[in-house]
Amino acid sequence: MTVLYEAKNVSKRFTVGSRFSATGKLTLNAVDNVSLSIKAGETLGLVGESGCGKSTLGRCMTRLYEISHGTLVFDGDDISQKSLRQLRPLRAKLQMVFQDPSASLNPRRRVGDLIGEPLRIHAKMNHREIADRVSELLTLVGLSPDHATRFQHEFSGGQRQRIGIARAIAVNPKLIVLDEPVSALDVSVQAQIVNLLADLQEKLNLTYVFIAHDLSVVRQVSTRIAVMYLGSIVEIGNIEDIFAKPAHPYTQALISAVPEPDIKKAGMRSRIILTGDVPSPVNPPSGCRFHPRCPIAQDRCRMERPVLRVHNSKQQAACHFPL
Amino acid sequence: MSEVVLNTVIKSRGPWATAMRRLWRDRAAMAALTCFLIILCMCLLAPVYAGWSHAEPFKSTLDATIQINGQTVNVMEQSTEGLGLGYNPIGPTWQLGNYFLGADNQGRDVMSRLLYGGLNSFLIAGAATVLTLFFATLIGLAAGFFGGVVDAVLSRVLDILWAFPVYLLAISLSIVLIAHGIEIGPITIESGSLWLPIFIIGIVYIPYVARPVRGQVMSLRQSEFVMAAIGLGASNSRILLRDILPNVATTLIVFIPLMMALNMLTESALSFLSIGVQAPDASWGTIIQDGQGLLYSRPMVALAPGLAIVLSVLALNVLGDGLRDALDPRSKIKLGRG
Repeated sequence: MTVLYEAKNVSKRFTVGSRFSATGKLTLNAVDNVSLSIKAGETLGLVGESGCGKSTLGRCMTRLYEISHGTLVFDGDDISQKSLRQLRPLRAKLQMVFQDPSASLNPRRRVGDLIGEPLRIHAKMNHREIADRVSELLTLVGLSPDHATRFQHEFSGGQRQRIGIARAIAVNPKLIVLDEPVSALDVSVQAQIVNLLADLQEKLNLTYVFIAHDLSVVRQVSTRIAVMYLGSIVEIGNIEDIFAKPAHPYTQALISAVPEPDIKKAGMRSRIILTGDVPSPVNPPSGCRFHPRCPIAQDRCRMERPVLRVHNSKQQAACHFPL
Repeated sequence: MSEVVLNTVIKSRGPWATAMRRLWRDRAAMAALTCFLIILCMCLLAPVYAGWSHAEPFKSTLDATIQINGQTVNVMEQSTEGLGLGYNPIGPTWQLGNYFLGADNQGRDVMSRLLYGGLNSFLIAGAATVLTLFFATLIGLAAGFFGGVVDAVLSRVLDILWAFPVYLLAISLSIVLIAHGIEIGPITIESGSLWLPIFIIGIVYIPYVARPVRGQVMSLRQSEFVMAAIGLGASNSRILLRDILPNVATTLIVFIPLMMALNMLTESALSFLSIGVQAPDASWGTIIQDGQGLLYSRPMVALAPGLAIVLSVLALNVLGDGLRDALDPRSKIKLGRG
C-alpha cells in the first residue's frame, strides 16, 4: 500500500492569555511533535481523552489550523508550505467531516446548496449537472433527492451528519478527516453512520482518519489506531495488535475502560482506573508526559522522555517499560 | 434522477419565509407597519394635496384671504393683544384643503408644509439609513473577517467617531459644512442641499451599526460552517457572500427601522437648530421651530409635526422590535453602547 498522507514532526502551539493578563503569555502545546503516515485505503483511528489534541491534529492535517512546526505531505505534495490560496484546488482531494453537523452546516442555506458548494468550487458543472449530482449524493448517503430543498434544521442529527458526509464526498476526495463524526449522535444512529462510512469507503476507495474518544467505535471502523496523550502519540499500530496486547500503560487503561457486553468476560477482566486528571498542556510534566498517572512509573520516566519504538515487532509505543 | 419527483416537491419554508410569517402574526408590529405606511403615503401625496388646496406651502403669503363659511377671512390677522403690533396667523379651520391646521408666521399652510416636511424627513432618514448600513456592513465585514491590522485600523477609526457624542458631532459637522457645502474629489454637495444632512447623519451613526456587525462577523468567522467552507476550498469572497452575509443580514434588517427612527430624531433636531433642512424647504424639525414663537397663540403649528415625529418614531421602533423577534427570537440586538 502506498503512503497517501505523511505528517512529520508536526507541532501546533497556541498562545494563551496576553502580555497583560496576570499569568502573562503562555504557550499551549496542543500537538507536540507528532509524526504519522496514512496508507491509501486504510482507516486510521485517532483516539485519546478530550483535550489531548486529536481534533487539533485533524484540523492541522487539513490546514484549517496553521501548524507551528513540521511538514505535511499529501499525495506527493508538501501542503505545509503552500499558501491557503494555493491550497484551494488541493482541498478537493482532502475533505473533512465535523463533529457537530448542526454547527458545520450553514443554517441559512438549503441542503442542495450546501452539498453543491464543493461542486461549484471545484467541478466545472452547470446547474443541471450539479442538481443531478446532488440528488445522486443524497441517495448515496441514504437520503432522498427531494431533501435538497430543505434546511438543516428540518433533519435529525443522524440525517444532518449524512448531509455533512455527502458534502465531503461530493468531489471524490482521496482522504477524509472525520472529526468525531458520531460522538454527537445516539448510539443506535452511531452504528448507522459507521456502517454508511464503511460502505462509502468500499465504494469510493476512501481513506479515513477517524478521530474519536470512543474506543469501541474506533475498533469497529479502523484498520490502524494511534493513541494520543497530551499532544503526542503514545502508541500506534494495527488495531488487532493493540487490542490484543497494548504496549503502553495508557492504552491498556483505555482498553480496559471499554464496556464488555459479555457478563462472564466482564467479571474476569480487571479494570485499570487512572488516578488524577490530564495535566495542563500549558505546563506539561517533565520526562514522560504520562508518568504522574502511570501505575508503573519509575525514576527514569520522570527524567527522560520516551520516543516511539517498535515493540513486539508490531506496534510502536512511547514507553520506557512497555508491557 | 427522476424529474417528476423533483418538480412535485414542495419547497420547505426557509428561515426568511418563517420570519415573515412570524412578523405577519405579530399584531403590534403589523399595526406599527400600517401606521408608518399611512403616514408615509400621506407625505408622498404632499404635492397632490398642495395642488388641490391651492394653499402655498413654501412662499410667504401674508396678505392672502380665504373663504370660511361664506366669509372672507385674512390669513394673517392684526394682533389684538398687547400693543396691537404684529400679526397672528389663522388657526386650524379643520376644513381639508383650507388651512386645515392653520397658517404659520409666514402665512403658509401648515398642513401642506407638514406633508412636504414629512417627505423630507423620511427622505433624509431613509437615505442616511442606507448610507449608514452600507458603510457599516463593509467596515464590519472587513474588520471582522480579516482581523489583524485591517481590524485594528478600522476599529480605531470607528472609536474616534464614537468618542464624540452623536449630537455634538452632528451639530459641529453641520455648522462647519452648512456654509460652504462639501467637496471631496468628485463628490460635491451644495450648502443648501438635502444631501448635507443625509451625509452627516449617515456618517455619525456608522460606528453604532459597524460595531455589532463586526462582532457578529468575528464570531461567525470562528463558526464551524465557515471552517467547513474553508475546508471545502471556498475563496474569501465566496465565504463572505454566501456564508457570512446571509447570517449578518438579519441584524442589518432589524437595524433598518431602528436606524430610520433614530435618523428621523436626529434630522428633526438638526433642522430645529436650523442646521439641517434649509428654508424655504420644510422638515418636521423646521416646522417645530417655526411654531416655537407661536406656541401660546397657535400651538398646532408645533404640535402637529411633533405628533407626527412621535407617531413615526414609535411605529418604527415597534416595527423594529417585531422584526427582531421574528428574525431571531434569541438575539438581543440593541442600539447604542451596550
